[in-house]
Amino acid sequence: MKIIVCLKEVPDTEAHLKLKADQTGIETDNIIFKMNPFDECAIEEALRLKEKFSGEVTLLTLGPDTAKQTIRKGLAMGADRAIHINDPLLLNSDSFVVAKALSEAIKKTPFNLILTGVQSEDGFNMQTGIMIAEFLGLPHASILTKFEVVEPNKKAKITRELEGGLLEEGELDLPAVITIQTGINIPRYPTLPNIMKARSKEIKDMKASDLGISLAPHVKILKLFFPEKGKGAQIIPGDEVAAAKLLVKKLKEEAKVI
Amino acid sequence: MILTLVQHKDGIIDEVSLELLTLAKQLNQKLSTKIASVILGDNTEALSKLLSQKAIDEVITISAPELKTYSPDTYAFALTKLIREKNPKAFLFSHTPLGCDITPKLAASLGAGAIASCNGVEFEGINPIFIRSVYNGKLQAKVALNSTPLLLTVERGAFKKDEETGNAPTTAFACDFSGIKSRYKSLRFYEAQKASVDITKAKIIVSGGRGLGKKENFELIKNLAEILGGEYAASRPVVDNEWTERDRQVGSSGKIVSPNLYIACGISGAIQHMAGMKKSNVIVAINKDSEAPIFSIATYGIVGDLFKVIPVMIEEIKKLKSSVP
Repeated sequence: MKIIVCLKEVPDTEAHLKLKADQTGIETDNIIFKMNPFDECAIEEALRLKEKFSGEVTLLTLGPDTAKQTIRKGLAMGADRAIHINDPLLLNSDSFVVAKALSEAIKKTPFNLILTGVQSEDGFNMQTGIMIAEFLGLPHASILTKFEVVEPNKKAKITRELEGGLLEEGELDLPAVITIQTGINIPRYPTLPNIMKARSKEIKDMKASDLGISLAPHVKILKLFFPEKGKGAQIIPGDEVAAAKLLVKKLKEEAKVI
Repeated sequence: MILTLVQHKDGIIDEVSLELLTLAKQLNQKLSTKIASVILGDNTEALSKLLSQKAIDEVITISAPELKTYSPDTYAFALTKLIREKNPKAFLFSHTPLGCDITPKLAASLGAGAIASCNGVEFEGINPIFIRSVYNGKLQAKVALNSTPLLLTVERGAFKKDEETGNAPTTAFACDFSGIKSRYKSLRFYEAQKASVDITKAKIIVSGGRGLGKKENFELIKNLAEILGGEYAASRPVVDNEWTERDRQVGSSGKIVSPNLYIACGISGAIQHMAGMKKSNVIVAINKDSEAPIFSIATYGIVGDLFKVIPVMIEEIKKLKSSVP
C-alpha cells in the first residue's frame, strides 16, 4: 500500500508569542517549532497500515527551511521518504493554495491512500485535507478516530467524531483522503537507530514552478491581535504557596463554593 | 442573496443555525440583499414550518432520500447546484463536523476560498472583515475573503441566537440524484462510551490538562477532586494520551459542563475546551503561562507551577474540613 501523509510544522503554542511589527504574523526568531500533533497521529496511523499491509509511506509538506527538522522526525518515526515544497512564494498561502500545491505534488507520486491531520494547531482551518480530495477528485472522510481497511484500494470502515461524544460509523470508497483526529493512536517516539537511519532517507525539494500553480490566496490575514481579556481573572498575588492559601480562603469566604 | 445552512437532528433544529441568522442579518445591513435558510434532508416539511416562523425572506428545502444522512458527495451535489442557480453573495455554515466537512469541498469545487471558525464581523466600508481564533486561541486574526460567494463556517456560540419572528415562504428546490454515486455511506451513530460517571451532574469539577506532563501526575487532580467532594475531568490532550477515561473529557467533542466550581489545572484554554466549561459558575485557572487564554474567562487565576499550588490547596482544604464543628 502506497501511502502519502501531508504534514505541517507549527509553532509550539505553549510558547510566548510575539507579533511582527506589521501585525500580519508572529515573530519566528525565538519560537520553538514542532510537528502538528494531528499530523503526528496521521503518520502513526500510516505506519501501522504499512506494518499491516506492507508498502511505503511518503511524507509531503509545504514550509520553509526549518520544516526539515519536522520532516526528519517523521522519517525517524518510520516513513520512507519525503517531499518538501519549499518556496518563499508560497509562505503566505491560504488553505486553498496549500491544498492546490500539495495536490499537484501528489499527482506526480503514486498512492493508494492519503492521510493528514484534521487541522493544524496554528491555522485551525480544517480545510486542507478536504480540499486536496476535491482537487484530486477523490472521496474523503474527516475527523477520524478509527480507520480500518476492509478491502485494499476498494473499501474502508471508518469512525468519525461528531460533537458531544457522538460518533458516526461509515463506509468509504478507496482510494481516498482521510483526516485524522488526535486520540486515534498514541504516536511512537523515534528510536535512536531510526533517527540515524532517517539521516540518509531521501527528501525531494520542490518549488512552486515545479507544480505550475496560481499563487494568489483568497483568504488574506489583515491583522493579528491578542484577544481582549474581558474582565479577566482576578490574579491571586504572591508565590505559589501564598497564592494557594489565599485562593482557598477566597473560594470559601468570597465565592462560597467550597 | 445570503444563504445559511440549517443543521438538524431527529427533527430538531440545532440552535447553531439560529446563530447563523444573526450573522446573516449583520452582513445584510451592508450587502442589502435577501436571506434564505436552506434545509437538506429526506423529510423537511416539519422543519421548514419551524423555520418559516423566522424573520427571513425564504426557506429553501431540498428533500430527497439521498439526503437522509450527511454524505459529502450528495450534499455537495445539491449545494453546488443551488449555488450555481441562486448565485448567492454569501453562504454561511456552522463550524461543526458537518459544516467543516462540506464547506472546503464546496470551496475547492467552486475555485473559491473559505473562512473557518468565524467568531465576529466588522466592516471596512461595505466590505466585511471577519474575525477568527488562531494559534490555539492565543491570537485572533482579522481576515478578508476575495472570492465569491463568501463561504464561512461560524464558531458555535459566537453569535446570539436570532429571536426575531416572521413569516417566510418555503420553496422546494428540485435535485435529481440519479447520476450521483455517493462514495461514502453512513452506517450508524452511537455514543462514544457508556459513562461510568456523569461529570455533567457534578457540582465541583477539577480538570487537568497538558501542563501535567505525564500520566502519574494526574493523581494530583484526582486527589484535589476527592478532597473537595467533586469529580475529576480532563482536557483533550490528557484523554488522547490515555491518562484518564474518554468520558471525562470536557469540551465541544466531549462533555459540556457548568458546575458551581471548575478548577482548570495546566489547561491553556483551547476554544474547544472553553466551549465545554465557560458557563461554570466560578472558574479557577492554575497555569504557568500568564498568556493562557483560560485566564480570560476565569474568576480566579494563579500564574504559577501547579505542582507547587495544588498540594498546598489540598492541605488548606483539609484544615478547613477538620475545623468545621
